[in-house]
Amino acid sequence: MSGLRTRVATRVAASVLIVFAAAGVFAPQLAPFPRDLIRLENSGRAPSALHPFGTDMLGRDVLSRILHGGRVSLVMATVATLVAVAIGTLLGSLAGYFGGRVDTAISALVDTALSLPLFFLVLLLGQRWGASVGSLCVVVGLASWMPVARLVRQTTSSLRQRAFVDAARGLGFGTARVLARHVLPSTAAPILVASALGAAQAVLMESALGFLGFGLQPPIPSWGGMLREAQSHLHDAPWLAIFPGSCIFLLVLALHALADAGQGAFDPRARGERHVGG
Amino acid sequence: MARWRTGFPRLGALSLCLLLAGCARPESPPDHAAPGGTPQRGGTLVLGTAEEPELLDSILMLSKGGQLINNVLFSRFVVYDDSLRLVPDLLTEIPTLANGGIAADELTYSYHLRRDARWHDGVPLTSADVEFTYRVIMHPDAGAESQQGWSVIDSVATPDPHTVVFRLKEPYASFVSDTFSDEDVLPRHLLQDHLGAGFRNAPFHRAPVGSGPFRFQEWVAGSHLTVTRFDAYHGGPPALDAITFKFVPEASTVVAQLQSGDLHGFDQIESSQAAVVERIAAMQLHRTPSLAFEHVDFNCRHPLLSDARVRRALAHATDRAAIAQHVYEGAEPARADQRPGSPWYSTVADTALRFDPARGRALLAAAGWHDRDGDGIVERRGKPLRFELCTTAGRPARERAVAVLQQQWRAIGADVTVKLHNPAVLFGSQESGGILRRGAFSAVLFGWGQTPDPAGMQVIYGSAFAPPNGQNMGRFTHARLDTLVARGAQVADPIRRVPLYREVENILLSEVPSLPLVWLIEIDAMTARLRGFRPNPQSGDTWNAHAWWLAPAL
Amino acid sequence: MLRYAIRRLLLAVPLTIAITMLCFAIVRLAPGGPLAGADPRVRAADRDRLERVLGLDRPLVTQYVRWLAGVARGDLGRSFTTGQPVSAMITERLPATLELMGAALLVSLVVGIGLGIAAARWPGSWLDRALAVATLAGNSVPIFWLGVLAILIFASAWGWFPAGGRATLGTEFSWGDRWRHLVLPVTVLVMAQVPLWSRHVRASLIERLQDEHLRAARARGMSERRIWMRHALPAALVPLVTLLGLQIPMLFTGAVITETVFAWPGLGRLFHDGMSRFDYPRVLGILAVAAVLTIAGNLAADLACARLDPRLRERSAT
Repeated sequence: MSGLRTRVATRVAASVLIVFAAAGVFAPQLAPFPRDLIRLENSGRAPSALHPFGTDMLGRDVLSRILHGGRVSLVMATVATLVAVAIGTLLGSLAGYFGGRVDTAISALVDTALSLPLFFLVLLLGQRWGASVGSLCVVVGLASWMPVARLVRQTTSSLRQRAFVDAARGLGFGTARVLARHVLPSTAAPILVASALGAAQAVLMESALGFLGFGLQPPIPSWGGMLREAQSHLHDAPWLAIFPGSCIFLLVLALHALADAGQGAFDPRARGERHVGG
Repeated sequence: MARWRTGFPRLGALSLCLLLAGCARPESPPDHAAPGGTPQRGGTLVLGTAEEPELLDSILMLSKGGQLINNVLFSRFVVYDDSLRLVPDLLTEIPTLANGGIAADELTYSYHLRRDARWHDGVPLTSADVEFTYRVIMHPDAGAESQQGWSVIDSVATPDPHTVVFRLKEPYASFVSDTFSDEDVLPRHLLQDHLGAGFRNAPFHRAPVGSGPFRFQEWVAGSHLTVTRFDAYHGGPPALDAITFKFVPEASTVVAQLQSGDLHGFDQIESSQAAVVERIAAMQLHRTPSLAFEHVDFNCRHPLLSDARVRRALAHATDRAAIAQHVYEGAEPARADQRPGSPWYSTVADTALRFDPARGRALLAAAGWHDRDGDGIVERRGKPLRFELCTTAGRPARERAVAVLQQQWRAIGADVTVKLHNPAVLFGSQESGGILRRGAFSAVLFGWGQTPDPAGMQVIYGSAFAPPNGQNMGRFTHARLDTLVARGAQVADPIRRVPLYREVENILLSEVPSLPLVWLIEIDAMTARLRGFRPNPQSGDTWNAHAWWLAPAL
Repeated sequence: MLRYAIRRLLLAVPLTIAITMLCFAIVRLAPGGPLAGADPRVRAADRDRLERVLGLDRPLVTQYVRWLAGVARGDLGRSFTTGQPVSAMITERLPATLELMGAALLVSLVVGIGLGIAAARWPGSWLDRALAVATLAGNSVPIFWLGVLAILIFASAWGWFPAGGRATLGTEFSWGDRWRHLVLPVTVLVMAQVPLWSRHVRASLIERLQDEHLRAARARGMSERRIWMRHALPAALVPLVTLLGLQIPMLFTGAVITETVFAWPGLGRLFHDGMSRFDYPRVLGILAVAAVLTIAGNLAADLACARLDPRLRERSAT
């Protein structure tokens, strides 16, 4: 892939992301209709000038619901990724910096977490605790911190040997300070990439849960939930499935494209990709 | 005894088609039983069903999906036909006071079994099997789903192989319609060794030997179950060679399979797919009103909802017709908890709770609720009319319904928040924190299947029957109603019962402990080649499968 | 090597136990059970009796210990809803899942490796770029959406393929019929899995081809073809083994989403049904099997990796 194309692709992806983010943040202002406004006489209308994405079976404007649902997806992705990155960075940096027993213990923990049949567990936890945005974020975050930990561990442990770290220690700086001010900043780039991947994973996971009925419950609109409602109306109202699905696709695509752009620096194996269920 | 069932629109609603004299007929193509040719032998019918059953006999915990299959494999004493008349299956005649089947003291019931009933392995079906099945139901460890009603039996006697006599401890008005109308008779000779703690695990329940028109052939879990003709059936050998029940949980694949001919029929077509299915040339759609009934129950002890005027006001604010049409997509609005045309229906219900928001507002005002600060919510003594409406998660129709109700009740000034619960949490036992049983709700939307006989109203509305004694979840109390339902449950003579229950209805319409919403309509798709098909939401569409036959393809 | 293997094995056992405990806790702490959701009007007396019959009234720890003891014997308990032994239910559904996932794995391996090789052979070409785009898309598309669209277009609208299930009922077994039923679900799965393989093969090959050692060989005049066949390819494909080890568990645990969308009678759907019905023994049984397989798969992958790269044995597992 030529460099120019990559840059264009990256810019497009970044713009898409910004558009989605803006749409999510400003959903209440942008949405032409209130997200919960039910007009039964208007149900199941195909896309038109008044309702660009059509209406659902309760006469609610699909575009408005997608905007609000996008808000939810973005919040979810952000918080879940933050959770994953926080846990992963903490554990990974400790493991990489100290090495030895700490490393063994933490790596064992990572292995355990990776040994779990993740998708099944996420389904289970989602059904049990996933009804609210907050708890769902935690569930998804808990399922995604491992690749970050590995990544951070690797970079930290290689950085540990470097001269400037020795210098900092020689000057008597405490561990936390060395970590925070000298080591971690160098891991920022890989972490960002891992975050983008993690966010993509989070969006996919949340919508899969919503689709199977084990995640966020109405009245919170979510793209996965909208797809689930759309399933029984595929023949008479296909737009109910097409728009939410496309949004999920585009958002995840943008995130992956950005991650790819930053990917050049390291080995795909270290990212430890897992696929969502399948 | 007849068990109440939840009204799951997609998951096997057990519902009732109530067609007594004067009631509208269901929308159905011309009667197939009439001349359309002479019955032809042969053919295999492939029926789709959404939920795969877990066990095949109805005494143990049966998931709703098994009813279709259960009907063709087993026999019962009585069955409700598609006009909601009780017809005998294993019996020679229905016991009544007139023919002596019911003794004058209304405590002794004598049943006469057909002599030609046989099990699929050839052994004759006798009263010993009936007595054995009774023991199974009453056994503490066998795991029967419900012993409700059976405990009224004092003793069972079998004076000869074809007579069973039940002696009751006290009068029980609906005994005939409830006894062995839902429960199958089980073969003693095959199961008596299993009676005990391991009864549920007996392989019989997944490969049964019954006495119905079809016998079990094979069950490929996750895929399909096949039954074949039983020539020695007491109702005459069925015309069809075999029926295959195919398990199709995904709505989107059902339509495709109906189009391709992989399926000949499906019993729970969603309203949204009806239009598409109707266009399939080989298929016919049958729309049958059922007794699956969705309603909102109020907690009558809730400080804001204990005033009947508030509950009535909310009823007037509810546009049931719109909900029936758009939310439940083709259900029938319910005006009371009995269907019009039922002898128990009171015509007061025609207008008692009509959609009239102005009247609702007036009622609230009369009860002291006014909107003083102009925010659209009414207050009384400084407190706003704010409460929570909850329902089960995972049911799209209910999720939509609560959203609509929220908006409709807002229009008269009630501020309602919506909450969805895991059904296990909602319906669980008191110890495990079940919300309904603990009374930890304000208003709840859910459904169940009405029974043809109203004797059960006692445990739903009687003040002594709050959980754990009964199902009066809303803790409704009304002295006159208590008297009426107690008497109604004991008197067997229908002429004396009707006025009692009409008065009960009037009380319910005035006090509104429960707000009726809709009667669900069952939509079935069936190949036009099938003759003799008469949809029956109460007993299951396969209730008369022995009379079905396939006309040749054109 | 042996010590490493033993060390990992010893770690695996408590790991498995810990996982089963975790699963058990999550499943059993969930509210309600097979009894609660069924009928809101079940009487309290009936419910209590059924709880006793099903063994649900004993303390949690007792239930766990009994279950674990059973598992050690190979007895995964009986389903609350069917009464069938869970192990029998799993073995009944396993072939269907193996068929689906095996076919998908095979096809995606072949296609993925092929595309990866092609992309590495002609880096920067239109093929390579197209593959990169397809990889991106394949990773990003939600599988359930793809499945639903596939049914909508190819089954309902055009009628090319059946809309679900594993075989047409009432007909004799025929390969043609079975293959027709496999096409849509396998295609959907393949689209999700190919990117995994092709990307690794491509990256790995490109890395190998830059190798000093190969440059020296080229300088000595070795043909490109020989370089590929004897050096680059084998070295690049070997790491796939570790990936494969990680994918093996998926062969069995199946694709819950795909099986649900296509009404495929496999293990994934069995799990989904079990969850909806709160059938604890079934859910736990499948979780346990999945956990064991995942651990075994990880172990095999790690061991293979360690065998191939001695350096890894020194560091703790990564």
